[in-house]
Amino acid sequence: MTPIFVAALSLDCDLAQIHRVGIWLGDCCKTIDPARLQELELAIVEAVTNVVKHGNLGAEQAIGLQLKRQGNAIEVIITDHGSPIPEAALAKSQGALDFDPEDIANLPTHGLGLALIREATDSFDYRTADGLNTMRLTKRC
Amino acid sequence: MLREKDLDGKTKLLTLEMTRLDAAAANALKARVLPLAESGQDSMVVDLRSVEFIDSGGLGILVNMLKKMGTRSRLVICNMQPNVANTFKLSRMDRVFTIRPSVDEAFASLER
Repeated sequence: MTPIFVAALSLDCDLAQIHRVGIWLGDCCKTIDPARLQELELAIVEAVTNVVKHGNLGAEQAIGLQLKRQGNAIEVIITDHGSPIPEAALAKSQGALDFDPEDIANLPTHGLGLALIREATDSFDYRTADGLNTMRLTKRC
Repeated sequence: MLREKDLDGKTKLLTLEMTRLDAAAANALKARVLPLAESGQDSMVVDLRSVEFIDSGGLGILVNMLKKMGTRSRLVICNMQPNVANTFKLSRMDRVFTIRPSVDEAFASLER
């Protein structure tokens, strides 16, 4: 049976830190198809950006990332103690990419992040319990 | 961060000199490019040759440019790296923007 590889990363609540996600992911997944891995990076970056921009975290509060990999099946768990993503935003993200490409005035400029997370991964789960927000993403790369 | 070049008096070439077009880069870039988009330029070519990663924050800037330029002018994007092209596809933005492989082809697509 393929062994399970586990790694963790803690990020400060700072947009300037987010580029570290790609470096960390690359280190964890050296044998993975780079194109598939870039999609996972996109999903994680969107999730962490969302926490930094809307989570109202204090500077001392970190965002936790954990990666579990078994072969080419990867699970990433992102945790934070900030404000949770509103239910309405989660619901709206399901149809956010169904826009009319000809209707320039109504193209979305916000709220694309959650939709991209859904699009770039195989599964997406988000829940809040006891003040801890947990986003779980999986992708077979 | 951004290099501007006038191509023919009506068309401006904007070369984004950054590897990541993401939320961290968005605010500073927005302050540079949105005034250009509102300046009444006929057409713009945006060269993404240096950009290796784009997220929804970066896409949002390009969409905002398109909205500011409106129907009076045209915006063409060129020199996308494969990862960037894939994000355009995932976000369906490949259906919104005119995309060409090179600056020359982007400029040619604007000829009236």
